[in-house]
Amino acid sequence: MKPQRDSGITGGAAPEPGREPPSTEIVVDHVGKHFFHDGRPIVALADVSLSVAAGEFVSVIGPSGCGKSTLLRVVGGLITPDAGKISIGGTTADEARAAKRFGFVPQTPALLPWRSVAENVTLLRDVGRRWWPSRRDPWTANPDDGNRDPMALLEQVGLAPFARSLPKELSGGMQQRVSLVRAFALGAPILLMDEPFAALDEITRDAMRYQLLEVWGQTKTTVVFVTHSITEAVVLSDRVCTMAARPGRVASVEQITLARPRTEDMEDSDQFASCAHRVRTSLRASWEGRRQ
Amino acid sequence: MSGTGGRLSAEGDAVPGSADAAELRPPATGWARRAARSVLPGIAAFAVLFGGWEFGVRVTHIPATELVAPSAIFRELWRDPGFFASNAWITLQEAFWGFLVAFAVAIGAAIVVVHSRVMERALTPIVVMLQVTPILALAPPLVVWLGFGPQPKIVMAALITFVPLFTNATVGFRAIDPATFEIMRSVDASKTEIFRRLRVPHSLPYLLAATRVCVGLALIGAVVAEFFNASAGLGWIIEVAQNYQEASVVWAAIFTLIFLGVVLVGLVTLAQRRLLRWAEVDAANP
Repeated sequence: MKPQRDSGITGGAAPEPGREPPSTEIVVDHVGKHFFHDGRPIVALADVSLSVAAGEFVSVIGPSGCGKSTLLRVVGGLITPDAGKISIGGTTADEARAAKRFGFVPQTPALLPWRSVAENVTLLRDVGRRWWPSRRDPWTANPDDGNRDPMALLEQVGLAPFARSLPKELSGGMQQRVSLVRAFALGAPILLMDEPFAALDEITRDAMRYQLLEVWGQTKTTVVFVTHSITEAVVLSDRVCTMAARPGRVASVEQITLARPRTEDMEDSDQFASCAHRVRTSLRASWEGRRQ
Repeated sequence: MSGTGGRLSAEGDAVPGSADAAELRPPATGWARRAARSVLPGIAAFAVLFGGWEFGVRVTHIPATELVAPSAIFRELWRDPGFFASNAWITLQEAFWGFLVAFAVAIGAAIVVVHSRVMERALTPIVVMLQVTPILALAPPLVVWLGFGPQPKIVMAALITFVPLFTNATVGFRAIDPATFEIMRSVDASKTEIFRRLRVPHSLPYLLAATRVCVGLALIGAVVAEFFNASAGLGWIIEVAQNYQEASVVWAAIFTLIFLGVVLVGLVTLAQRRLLRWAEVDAANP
């Protein structure tokens, strides 16, 4: 099967002119990566190509072991590919990483247990600063940078009263919201999310999706979102990239034509069902293909 | 997640966002009552121990050269507290400097080992060798090498505390959460920054737990070194008094050592409470 090459800006959330420089585009160009497991090579990514427009929300969905997390880390410069190239607005992934252009949200909240919620949220901006951050007032520690106001973000996700709490005092869903705020507060033009809601219960997950959309709607950052859930992918995305396993490759890229802003009611619409159906069909096809 | 284990928060910290917190909190009482409740059982146990000891000695008429009654030990301490205090101060200094040297070397070695595979392979055999060496048996040669001053005692205390400190420092520096590590890498945090912001705080529970153990070990090292040709210190008192068959003096020195150890362990516990609030497991959110 020849991997599909998808290029160019596609519908959905076309960025407002001038607001988002087109340099934040992600280009994954014929990327390959293999790991060794018990001495045998496993192809995590085989000739994967994908491009994401500035301000676009792209989900990557696929079965376990299809390399979607690897793809996310290759994009973020956390894993170096064996073959192919990554371009983040014309620069390499490592350069983009050094310029703090990625906000990374892992599956676990990954908060520092000794820092308060407020101090956790400012952690990523503090990195690379010469001196210890002001513990007393993390908000105004560096008012000059163009980052988003973390307190306003906490307020927006309902966590302002917990700014001085320690992470252990929060529930799992609240911790994951802090993790989201931390990524948004960095003000990075690209957000990389690796199944951020996978560990949450279905009810919390559902609420979190719309909360994420609300915050994202104000920023229009570029998002690459790895997920296991078809519903989640369709609710959130402009495009859904389905992947197949062994070797990890792109099976198809589905356009999600639902209007924005997305609402809970849309989940019951025919249009939603047909989008979900297309994603599901693509995933099934790659699954069938694997059995032969 | 830490070496301190799952101690419930005795202060009953309010746990926001948790309805159960109020019910799980211990009933509010005055600090005097709480303090009494936490200290009294220990005092009672001590009273029973010493009471039984005293009673046993008086009933069986064991000669004082074989077993000294607690009352005689306390009388000995009371007779010349300055003597025991000044010698305890000497032993304490030796143990402290030994611990400090071991701490510095252990942290340095752990930093090297955590960041370099080659150095880990090079240093591990040496650490294992130190671990299996009966350190106390080194006291006589150490005195020969380093003379009669404080040096052999300090080296002894350092040798005996090094392995626990090194092992815990290494484990602690490595105890970072892979996801947090990835987040730090995603903004290109340097190795020093990851060390400072992740590894050091993560190692604190381990280092304090090791320090707690090493307080006793450092005292043992210093005292044993003092057995050999020292001219001061609690170990010296024990050695000399033993030769003159002054059992009550021997025991008075031992009691002074115990007191020293208890105070030091108490200080470490206080530091653990202060610094590791974040690592304590809450009743509401285990």
